Amino acid sequence: MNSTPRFPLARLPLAWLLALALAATGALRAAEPPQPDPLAKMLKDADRLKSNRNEHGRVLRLCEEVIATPRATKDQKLQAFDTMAYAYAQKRSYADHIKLMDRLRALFPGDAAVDRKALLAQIGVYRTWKKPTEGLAAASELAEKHAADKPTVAAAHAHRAYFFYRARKYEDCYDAADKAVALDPENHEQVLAVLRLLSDAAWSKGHMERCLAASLRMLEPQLAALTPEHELPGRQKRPGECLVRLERHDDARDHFLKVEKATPDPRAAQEFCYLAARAALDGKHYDQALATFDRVFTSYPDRTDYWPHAQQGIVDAHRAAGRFPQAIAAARILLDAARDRGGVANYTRLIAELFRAIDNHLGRANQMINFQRFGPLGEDGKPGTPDDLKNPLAAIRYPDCSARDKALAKARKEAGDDAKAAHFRAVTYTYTGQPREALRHYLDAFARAHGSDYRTIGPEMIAIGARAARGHPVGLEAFAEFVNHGPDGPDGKPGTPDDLKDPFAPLLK
Amino acid sequence: MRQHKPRMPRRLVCLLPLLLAAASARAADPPPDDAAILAQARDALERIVSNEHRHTSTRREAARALNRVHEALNDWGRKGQLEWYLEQLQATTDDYIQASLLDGAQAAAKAGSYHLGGARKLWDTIDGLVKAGKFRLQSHGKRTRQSLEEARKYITRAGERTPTDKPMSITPPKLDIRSSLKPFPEPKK
Repeated sequence: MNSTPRFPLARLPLAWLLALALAATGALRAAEPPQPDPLAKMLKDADRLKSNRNEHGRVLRLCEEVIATPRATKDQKLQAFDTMAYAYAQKRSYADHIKLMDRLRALFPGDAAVDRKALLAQIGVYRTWKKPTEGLAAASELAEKHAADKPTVAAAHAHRAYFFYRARKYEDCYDAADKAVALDPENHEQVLAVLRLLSDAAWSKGHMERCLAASLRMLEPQLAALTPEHELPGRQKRPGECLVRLERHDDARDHFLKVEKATPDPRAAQEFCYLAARAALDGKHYDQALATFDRVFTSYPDRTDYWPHAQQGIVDAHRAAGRFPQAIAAARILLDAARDRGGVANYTRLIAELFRAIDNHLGRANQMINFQRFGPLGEDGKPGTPDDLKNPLAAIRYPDCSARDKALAKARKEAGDDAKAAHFRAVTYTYTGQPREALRHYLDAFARAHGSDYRTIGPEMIAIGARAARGHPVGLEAFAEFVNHGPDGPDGKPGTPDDLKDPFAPLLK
Repeated sequence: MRQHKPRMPRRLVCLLPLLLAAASARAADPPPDDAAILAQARDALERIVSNEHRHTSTRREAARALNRVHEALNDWGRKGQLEWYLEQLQATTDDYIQASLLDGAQAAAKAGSYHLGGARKLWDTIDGLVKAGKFRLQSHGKRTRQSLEEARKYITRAGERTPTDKPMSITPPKLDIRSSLKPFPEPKK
């Protein structure tokens, strides 16, 4: 009877067994994790520690060790240099950084890519270090050594333009910038940076034609798309400003109107609308200027930012056109909206000058000034005396603001229900020649207010609201006293001699 | 049996910011329907602020939102409002809640008027509570008071604004030629 052997391996020849054992040990060895490369570990450690300023010395030692190791690969050495460069940049060790890049170039003398990288790094350091002379030398060396490589030469010229700009050598800056743009026009980011530099340099030097060309090119779609959103309104404005300085007012107006339509930022759009009106005024297109100034209100009824400027523009346009009565009517709104002593004095003088221009004598002009100085009771402050004064503005009606009022009505409705909204409504009434209605809304704003609103609304309620409703700034102390203490007066007790009368009440009838 | 206090529906609490934003987009006085919702929100917020078992951050937000709801309703000085604020002020120890409550209390004392007389009286009351040891003013609360004092200073300055311009005058141009122009010399006889 055949029996099955208990150990089948026992039937194999010894040689086979030996071969199996060897294969098994080999397989085991293959399954073990590979020994880590000590250089790779050092680089990893250095990379991990490079942002830690306290470990700066250790990072440099680790990297130096890698660079000094003959069996380190080129990539490992380059990585070590990169890490050291990062550490020097972190510590702002500019001189060490420059020396390091010199060492890198010396280590790989024939390597164009390494040479380019090291030179660009040095240029970057010189930019941060604010060393234009050294930076220029490095940029020129880059352009010379890599003359066959157009993008590198373009980059070198872009850097040269920057250093010339810093050194205030504007003509050289323009030259280098032109070369950078011509050599690598497809590098949009670089072109944008160079044009920005060119535009700023030409603007500060007063070279408007150059600035205009650069600024207009920056608005080309592919470049405008790269401009940061917060920077775009300023960039859109610049060509118009150049045109104004070149006294090409009609072109400036057209440019501002174009960018007003193009910009998605309503604040910028309102500013462009105002600037277009200003350009039209400078170009002596008075009616067009007036219509555009008015659009600063009607097209942007929820933004008060440029309303004072636009109202001033309307006065200027009427004045320039010789329509002095209309200018006075428009200036009344400016005087109403003035929020400080300087503003009240300026607009009083402006109106006085307009009176003088109409009358050819100083009668009403000085009446205007004195009424704002002393109020209806005159210098002695007593009623019924010969020095009592009349407001010359009483005979002059506010301008017709019905179209403006209609446009602002919707914004008033939608402004909201808080104190700020009530304040906004008050401002809209001031700019439509309705000072009493404005006062009502100032009072509503203060009534609703809480927290820090008292500080902003309270003073305006008196300086604009009460003053404009009365027509002069004399005696506003009583208003301030009432707002601060209330009807019970400074002692806070009712029925005592210091009780105060509400000075606002007669203005609300 | 345990009585359940009426609570603001959870959905309403979540929708509060939206409600307030929607209210901001409307005109000054909310229409009756919105006013009713805001009044409901006000009552619920008062319950949240006064509930010490609620999380502090929720109470802080609720105290701030409550002031905003009063502003929208324009109901500063409503009956019992100032008393409620004073009661909560004495009950809370949190700095931020105290600041919001003080802000609300000031406005409640001002009672929708255009002067700060009521707010001044409130601070007299608070000083009395502090003296009696019933209340401790914390840092943010001190800032609320400081802010009011600053506002009063600005208001005082606004009343002092009078233009200082002098009247215009025309000075005749100097045409005195006595020293510069002499008569031609007479021919010698």
